[in-house]
Amino acid sequence: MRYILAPNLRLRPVPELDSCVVLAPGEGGGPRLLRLNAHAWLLLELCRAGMMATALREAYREAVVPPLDAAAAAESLDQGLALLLRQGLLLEKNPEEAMP
Amino acid sequence: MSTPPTLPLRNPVLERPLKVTLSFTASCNLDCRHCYADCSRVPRAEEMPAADWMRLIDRLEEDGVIGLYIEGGEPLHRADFLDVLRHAAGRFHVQLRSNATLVTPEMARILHEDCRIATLLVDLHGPDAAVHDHATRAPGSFERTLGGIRAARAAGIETQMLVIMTRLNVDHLQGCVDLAARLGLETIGILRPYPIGRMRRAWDEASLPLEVMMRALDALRLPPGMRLMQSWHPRDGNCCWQTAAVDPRGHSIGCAYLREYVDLGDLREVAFLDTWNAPLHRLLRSGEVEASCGDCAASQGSHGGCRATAYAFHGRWTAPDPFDLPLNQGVDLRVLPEHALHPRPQSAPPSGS
Repeated sequence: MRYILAPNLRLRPVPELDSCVVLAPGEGGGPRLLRLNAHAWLLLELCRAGMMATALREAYREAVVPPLDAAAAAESLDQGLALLLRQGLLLEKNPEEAMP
Repeated sequence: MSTPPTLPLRNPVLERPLKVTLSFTASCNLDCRHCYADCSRVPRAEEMPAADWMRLIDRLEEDGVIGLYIEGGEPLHRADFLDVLRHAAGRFHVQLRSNATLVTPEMARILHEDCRIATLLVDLHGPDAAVHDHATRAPGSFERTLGGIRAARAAGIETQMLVIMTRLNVDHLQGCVDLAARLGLETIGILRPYPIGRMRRAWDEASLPLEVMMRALDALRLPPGMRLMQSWHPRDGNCCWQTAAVDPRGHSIGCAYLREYVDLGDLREVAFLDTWNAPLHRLLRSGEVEASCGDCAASQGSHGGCRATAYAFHGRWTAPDPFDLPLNQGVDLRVLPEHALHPRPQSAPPSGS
């Protein structure tokens, strides 16, 4: 399993405020503007790199600031993924689907 | 009531703006007696052509702008506006401010499906034709605006109502709230009057004492689920920190409400980010003000309130905003000082500030 960014997103990093603003297509309505905190932004960037779920877990634990122990990092990652999936910013993809 | 601010007197600092107001035209199909843009029926020759607006929009995207707030005049009144709006489609979060009289069902479909606007903000001056049409000096405009709101909602566009509070409608604000509810709108903005354009020249007939405005706001009863936007205490933000604005000529002016006080340069000649970093724009955004209201700083995350009304009544960029009750300092908002009656756009702060 891996996660990929939903199509037609525009990411606007705002490092001054430790956040990232995302322009996303609306579902039926107009486009949506969402402000992500640093954790959600990090997750989105890691998913943009296209890594598999296991590698993503490791990369997130190494990159998250402040550092978290393995259990806390896993919990934070799962919460973040669930949120981004719910918001339609990430899509789940099976490995075979990911092959060119 | 206000408490001393606990935050440092600095606004958040953005290296590049997130959103920009585009005052696309100073032309309109109505003839509002308090028009900020002092609109004419025909666009003036100095207005930027569509091709230049499109180039500017490309530039803004490259510079990191993600939100556009497009207003006029009446943008839909200018024949080439849809070309520009389509050019921005899908690349920005677009909020369009309009009198909605030109929003037919077909126009609403175009705005939604082709131009993909996020929100339509519709100016209304009163809850019935008598009040509204008196303000617009256009008989029938009230019904056409309501038709536009209905068409926009039917097309699936998030639609909000905006009402600029004046002496002509202050006794009708609850009627506007009730009308918004009947139209199915979930957000109404009650906006302060700004002494610019025809509103400046008609300030004697339009302006109100601050206490009257505060009482009118306090008296409003919102139906369940309706959101009220207002910018008086305790929600008086210094929103300069996150935004910029461009006037119909393509000049960078900081904020649309600063249009008569600020001119940072023609964006066909100077780079947008150079105007963003101009000393006057930096000062406006900084939050370095003479006094800050703790309640408003806490709710808005910025200091000193609106820079446009602060400058209008005090003539200083760092002055407190007299529309904020704790910062009013005895200013009678019905009386415009001389410099506000005859404004001259500035490009830089006075030396030493």
